[in-house]
Amino acid sequence: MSVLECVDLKKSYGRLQVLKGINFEIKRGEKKVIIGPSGSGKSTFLRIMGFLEPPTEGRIFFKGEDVYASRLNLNLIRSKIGFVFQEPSLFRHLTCLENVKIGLKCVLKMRDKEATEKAIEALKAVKMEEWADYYPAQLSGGQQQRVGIARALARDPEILLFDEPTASLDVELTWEVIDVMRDLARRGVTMLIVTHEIAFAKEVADEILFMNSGRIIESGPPEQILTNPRTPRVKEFLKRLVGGT
Amino acid sequence: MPLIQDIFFLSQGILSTLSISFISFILGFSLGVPVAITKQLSRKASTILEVYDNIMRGIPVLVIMLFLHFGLAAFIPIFRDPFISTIIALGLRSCAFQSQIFRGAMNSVSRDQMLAAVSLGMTKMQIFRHIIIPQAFIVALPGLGSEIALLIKDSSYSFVLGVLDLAKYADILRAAQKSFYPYLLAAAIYVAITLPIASYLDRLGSALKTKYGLR
Repeated sequence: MSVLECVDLKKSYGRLQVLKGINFEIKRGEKKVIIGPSGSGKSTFLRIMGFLEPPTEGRIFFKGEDVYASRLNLNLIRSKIGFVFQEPSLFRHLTCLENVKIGLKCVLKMRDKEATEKAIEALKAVKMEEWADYYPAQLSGGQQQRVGIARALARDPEILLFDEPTASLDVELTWEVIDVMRDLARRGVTMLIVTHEIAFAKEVADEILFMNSGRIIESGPPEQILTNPRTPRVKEFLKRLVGGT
Repeated sequence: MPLIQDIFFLSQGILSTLSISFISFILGFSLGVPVAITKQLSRKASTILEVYDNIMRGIPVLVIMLFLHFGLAAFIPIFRDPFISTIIALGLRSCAFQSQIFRGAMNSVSRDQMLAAVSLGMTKMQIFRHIIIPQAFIVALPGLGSEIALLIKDSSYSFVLGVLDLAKYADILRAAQKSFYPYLLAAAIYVAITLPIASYLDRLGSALKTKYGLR
């Protein structure tokens, strides 16, 4: 069954068209990775699929239901999706544990005890349970990002969306975050990931999608996209990416 | 010791000074915070409240006091009480100031945090209550410190309406002793009250900002 699907998705900011008609589907248990140059609309696409912004045109289905046409409660849908941002976006005045608990209590209306248990379980999954009572300012960027993943994960979401979760981290911290994501992939969590970590994409992705100026111009299994891309644009991008590192 | 006697005499006015300033602060706070939140929630309300703020900030507080006590009192008898006129005047102006302080503090909460809260499925009100307001309080602390200090100083206008506050007692003492030194003494007492409060809230604000890594 498809968890998220979009048909002819378009997004404009004023005169600038950022997404120019995207068709996409992700089924339960699938891992899909989006790559592409900056400014190609990857983040916008992800935010729209996470219902953080409405599309200008097109339809989005969550588990088969047309979300905007049926005027579903967006907060309810959002509570079933986990979103991990590029910048560690933890709530600064709350401890790690409270950061993970707040959505469980406010949105899912769990009791305190149940929320605490669930939150600790999520922190364990990202190996941050020992830091439960620390504030974000006391943690490294990588640790903050792992707590961010725990916060997204604690609600047992239907899907996890990652918007370049390692882009603001240095190499060493990148690995601890990638390790956590790899772990989640192994556990069968449905994931849609925007990233520049090609090695990671190759390892976990069922499909890689290449975005360029608001369109998905090529998609397929990692081996094909990464080793034998059809379009010159993808070839050029990969060459630069590999050459650059 | 005449100095101790004089301080003792002046201290009779301190209670009035402190109660005027603290009650008007609480009044300004309990009006200013909801005003600041309303401004964030509704653009239309924001325009109207902004006009109120600008008018209140543009009128000398003494003029507001005189207007209430000698003007409005004809229609609203409660303003015949000079104590109440002073508190309401200071409180209304403080509302304008404090709503500005809070607006700035709420705007300082980073957009990533708000987007993260939206992604969790939190409602606008929940985001205000659990994310924006607690952080805004911390950021607002130094501003609130200066606001309290301002109210303590401006409470001295109340003596124009006949309230026996610190300034008024200093004036009585000056008349009795035919010396200006009671004014110096009163000034020293004002500084001794305002400075610790303002600097404490300032330091508390910075310490908490560092602790939580707030901007």
